[in-house]
Amino acid sequence: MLLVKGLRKSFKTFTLSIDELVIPDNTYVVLLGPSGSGKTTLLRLIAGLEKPDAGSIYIDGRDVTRLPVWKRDIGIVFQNYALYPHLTVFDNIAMPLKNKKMPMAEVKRRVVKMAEILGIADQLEKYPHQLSGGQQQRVALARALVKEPKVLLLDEPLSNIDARLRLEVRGFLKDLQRRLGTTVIHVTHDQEEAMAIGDLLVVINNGRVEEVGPPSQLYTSPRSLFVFNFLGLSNVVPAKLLGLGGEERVGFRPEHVALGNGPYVGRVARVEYLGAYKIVEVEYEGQFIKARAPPDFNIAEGQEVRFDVKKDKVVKFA
Amino acid sequence: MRDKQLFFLALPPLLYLFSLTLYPILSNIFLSFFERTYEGSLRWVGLGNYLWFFEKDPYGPLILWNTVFYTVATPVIAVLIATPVALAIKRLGGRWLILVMLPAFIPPVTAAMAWYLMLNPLYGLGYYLMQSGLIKMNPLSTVWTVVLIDVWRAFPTAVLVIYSGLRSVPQTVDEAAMADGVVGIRKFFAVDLPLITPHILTAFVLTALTGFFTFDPIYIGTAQVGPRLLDNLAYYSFEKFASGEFGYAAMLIVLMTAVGTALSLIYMKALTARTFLKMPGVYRLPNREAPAVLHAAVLASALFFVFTPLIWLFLVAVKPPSEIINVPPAILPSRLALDNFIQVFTHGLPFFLMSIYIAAINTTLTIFLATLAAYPMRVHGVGGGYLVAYILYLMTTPTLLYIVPLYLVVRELHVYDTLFALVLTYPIMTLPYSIWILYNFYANFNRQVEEAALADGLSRVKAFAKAVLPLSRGGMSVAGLYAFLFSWGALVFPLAFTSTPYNLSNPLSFSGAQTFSIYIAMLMSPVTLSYGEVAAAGIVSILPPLIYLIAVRKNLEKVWGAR
Repeated sequence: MLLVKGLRKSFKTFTLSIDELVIPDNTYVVLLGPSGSGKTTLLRLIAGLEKPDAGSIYIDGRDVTRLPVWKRDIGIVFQNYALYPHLTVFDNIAMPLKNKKMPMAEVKRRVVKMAEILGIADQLEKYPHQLSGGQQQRVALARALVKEPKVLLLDEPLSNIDARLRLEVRGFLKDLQRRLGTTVIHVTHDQEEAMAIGDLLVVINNGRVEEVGPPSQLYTSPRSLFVFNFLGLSNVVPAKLLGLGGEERVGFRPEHVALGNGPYVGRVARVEYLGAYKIVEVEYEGQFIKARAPPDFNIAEGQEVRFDVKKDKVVKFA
Repeated sequence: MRDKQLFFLALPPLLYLFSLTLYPILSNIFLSFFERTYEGSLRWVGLGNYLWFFEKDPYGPLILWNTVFYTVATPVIAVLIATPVALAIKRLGGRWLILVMLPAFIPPVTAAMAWYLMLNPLYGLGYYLMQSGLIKMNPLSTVWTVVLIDVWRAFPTAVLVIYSGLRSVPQTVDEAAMADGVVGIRKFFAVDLPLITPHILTAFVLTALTGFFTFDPIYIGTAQVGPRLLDNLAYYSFEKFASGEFGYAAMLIVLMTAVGTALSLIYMKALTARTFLKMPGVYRLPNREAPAVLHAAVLASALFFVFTPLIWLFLVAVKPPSEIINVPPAILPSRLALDNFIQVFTHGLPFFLMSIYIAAINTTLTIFLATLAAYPMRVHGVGGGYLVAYILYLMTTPTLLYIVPLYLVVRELHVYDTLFALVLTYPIMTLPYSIWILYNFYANFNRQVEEAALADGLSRVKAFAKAVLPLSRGGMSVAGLYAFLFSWGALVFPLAFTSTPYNLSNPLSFSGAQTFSIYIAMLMSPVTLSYGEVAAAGIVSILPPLIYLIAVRKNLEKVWGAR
């Protein structure tokens, strides 16, 4: 278990401040937030690449706050992979082991095993510049994992991968985590990627943890308005507008708006065709409400339309 | 037809450079097969000059040995010193770089003079060094002093090159090494050294070139200990030129050109090398982060090395004349005396004025011509890789190679010993370096600025003048710094092309063109030897480049990548 307590780190114009964050074992955790929110800083603090101004980090009950990176039992994969350009794939992966003066036979056994797991066993004699981006990433993963770390840290691992390959690598990363049973902390700003891959999402905004939970929970019933807006298309309106009483605001997703029938009558302001579905923006009492409709739903801008909102899917915000 | 306009932009500087470098190189080869007779005409001797040097010249073996010694000892020592200093600066911050770089901005003749003053075994710190038994030989008469001065002048450049290499290692690779637990000296040998191999090689070749073409320290040193003891090919060829043996001098210069060209080619290879120096057994090295104190100590030692001769120079300059020639020498003056500076002002004025004229004219001219050449070369690929290579070649080989043919040209044009001789020849010395600086400056230049100006209907030339030039000020100021520095501190060209001080009774004739460097060198000669005056002149010679350096410091540090 990884525990972060009272962590503070200030930069010129920005402060990261985490009161408490618990990351259970054998979990795929995604740190999600907009750029500049402090997610990479948190990753670097956990790694030990930055020193906190205050607070502590524990791995399995051991206080690692003052330990250097290499004594923390973690592995890191950098966004640009940061392979040693002067070493072969084998030597890149072997670096952490040779450094511990492990016997050569054991080094070899472990490197080959890790390379087989990652599907790069036939690349061991090559140099990094002879590999594709995806292969380089696997080498970086192997180098991080060969130490058998307790926690694997991935900094935006999909950002340098071709859009076509991203789905594939996403699945691969998740499989790898399941097979090895390590804890993975994966940093991204892409909410779709986060929901697809994470067992647990940690949403960070403006230097603070906004909310922690499994993706389905954060998508359907978050406590935080920011999380609700960040995780997908959303409508947020005063509760009174839907006749739900009170001064609070309510949020609901476009897919929970049914067009064609219902108590409310609005005017179609805009229609976006997105292939698998259409997003129809309806103006209702001065508010714009996004609704999701089947792609063949026939409606024109300026037309009047009746609609309903599924009341049981509505989330209330103070 | 727009691109033709660009070519015309680059034409004046390139035409100048090609005619005034290619002609002398070829002319040297031609001259080296001749002997100048007593009456002044040339007589064909075939390979006679070459054979004489290798078989009969009594000084031949000594000169070859000294040349090899300077060429090897200088880079070995400079790179060995520079590497830990570069590491220390990386750890402690780029702002220290400028202090370590200081020797590179001091006129070479002043640097040599300051060291010889300090090491003087009677009136300098050399007295105490010999008394305490730290050194056994007379520091004036050993080739090691020449190497010491070379290292002092050259190691800052090595620090700069190695430092920029260390900075080019991606931060994430540093962090990956940290994650793998590779730190301290082991990290240097396992990660940094292989990655900065091209930079180490570059630093090595550049300092080797300094060693190979050593001139100023020998010129000053010879005045202290007498001829032939310290000579290398460069100095010997100058002596032969000065005594009118043009064919023999040309032969020696051809030999140097060959070696210099080889070194320069290695330099160009080094710049783009993709080799990694790998050390066996790195995992047996200690794996501990070096404490910041150690880095601070390394930096402090480097600064001590840099500043000691300068401080001594200053102390001598402000000593009352009566305290300068004392045995044992006093370290601190009893009072601050300006006598020496007053002497410099009275005796040195014509030299000082001439140096200011030529430095100002040549800096302006160089900046202008270098910009005209560099922009089309970089942004529009005018001249291609061969032109860049030729500029690099000129940058790494000194102007000493051109003195014989250019002397004959200057004499033909009847401008010998005038300001015009210097104006004609100085750009050869400054243009290549300035073009190279601006060429690199334009690497990061946003070309769309020019394209926007073209879209607004300006011609290529107008777009260059109105859109490109105003944005080039940073690069131009740094190119100008080096142009000023070289023009201000030049020794070989004024020695070769002038013979009398600036004639102040007829100042507009601009004749008599000896420069301030010559004044300093003359003061060190055994005839006029005046330690106080020469020290004060040295301090004066340091000031103009220093003022320029401070003025453009920010731009310079950007070019260096120190901020």
